[in-house]
Amino acid sequence: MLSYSKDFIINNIFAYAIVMIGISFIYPLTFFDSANQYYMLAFGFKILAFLIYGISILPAVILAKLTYMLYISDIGGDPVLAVHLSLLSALAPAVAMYAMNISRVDIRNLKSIDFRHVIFFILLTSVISSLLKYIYLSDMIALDALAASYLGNYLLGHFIGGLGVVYLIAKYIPNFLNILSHIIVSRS
Amino acid sequence: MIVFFTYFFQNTLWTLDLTGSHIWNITNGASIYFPLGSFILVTLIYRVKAFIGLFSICFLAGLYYQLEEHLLYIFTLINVVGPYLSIRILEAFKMGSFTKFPKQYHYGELVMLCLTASIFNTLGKFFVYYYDPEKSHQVGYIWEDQGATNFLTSYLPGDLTGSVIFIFVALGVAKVLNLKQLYIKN
Repeated sequence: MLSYSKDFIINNIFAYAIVMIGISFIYPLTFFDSANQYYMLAFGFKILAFLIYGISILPAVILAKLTYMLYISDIGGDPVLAVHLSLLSALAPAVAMYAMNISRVDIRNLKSIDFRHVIFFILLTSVISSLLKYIYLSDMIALDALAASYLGNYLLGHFIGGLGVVYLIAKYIPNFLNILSHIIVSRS
Repeated sequence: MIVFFTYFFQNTLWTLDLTGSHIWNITNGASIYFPLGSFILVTLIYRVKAFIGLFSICFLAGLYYQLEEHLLYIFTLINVVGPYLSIRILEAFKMGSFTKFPKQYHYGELVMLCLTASIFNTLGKFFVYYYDPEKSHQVGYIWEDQGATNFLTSYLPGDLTGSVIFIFVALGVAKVLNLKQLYIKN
């Protein structure tokens, strides 16, 4: 029990750090500019945190998003809007993960994972996340944008960002660690 | 026949409103849209061979609703191709296998198929309808009217619930009446 609590806290701290690294990529932009980006790297880092640690890091992602909404973004420090957007943003990957588990695909087991499942997970999460945020924002705020192009940008940005980050990290981090270990072994 | 029956059922009982008190509006979808379930079921059983029948019935339904010409063709195409593409996408991503459908199936995979098909159906129609160049001058009005949000919030849940309910009821009825005996592949 104690070990589980310790793992839970450590996983959440690391997940918080990963999501905050992703958020640092959108720091110079306003909230609505970042939503219209064609590559939402922050979304990719959020997906990565869920893929590594599973659904148990939900509190860390909500907290990271809340930090961004309240203290970094320019939505005006509205706490209700911040809480709602953070919850929507954090719940989308959890819902997608649950939906995939219904379909007998265990996305949480990284050892036996198929990259095609990861791509589908990113696709499903990007659709759910974009739809939730779009419907919520269009209900709350009078956006000066064309409906279809706004949602299209949102979807494309989520998908490219998610796929780009996960693919690059899955491809290059093991190689980098491999080279690092070779250097250490050769020096020793 | 399945598609024809569900369209008739949907039109008379859910969408048409024979009293004439309700004016049909394209941005407000049915709260439970059974026809998508029938499209998925028919495509699951007959695959490409169902295209001609599906196309004709969807085209007739589009004519009945007096859809504009370009919407009529593209909406019909989305209705016909959407479920097939969803099946192919799920099989390509190893999310499920539907090759032995009527004999072997998994309920979770069918739910995922309904979810994918309803996302495909809703987003396809949404992008076609709101990218209409003739309506570009009305976009501000549509936005203020919450037409786009209404479109998504009515079509997606309606498609999902309708397709899941239809498929599960149809499979239950087929099991009770032992209709698998009548099914002949090829």
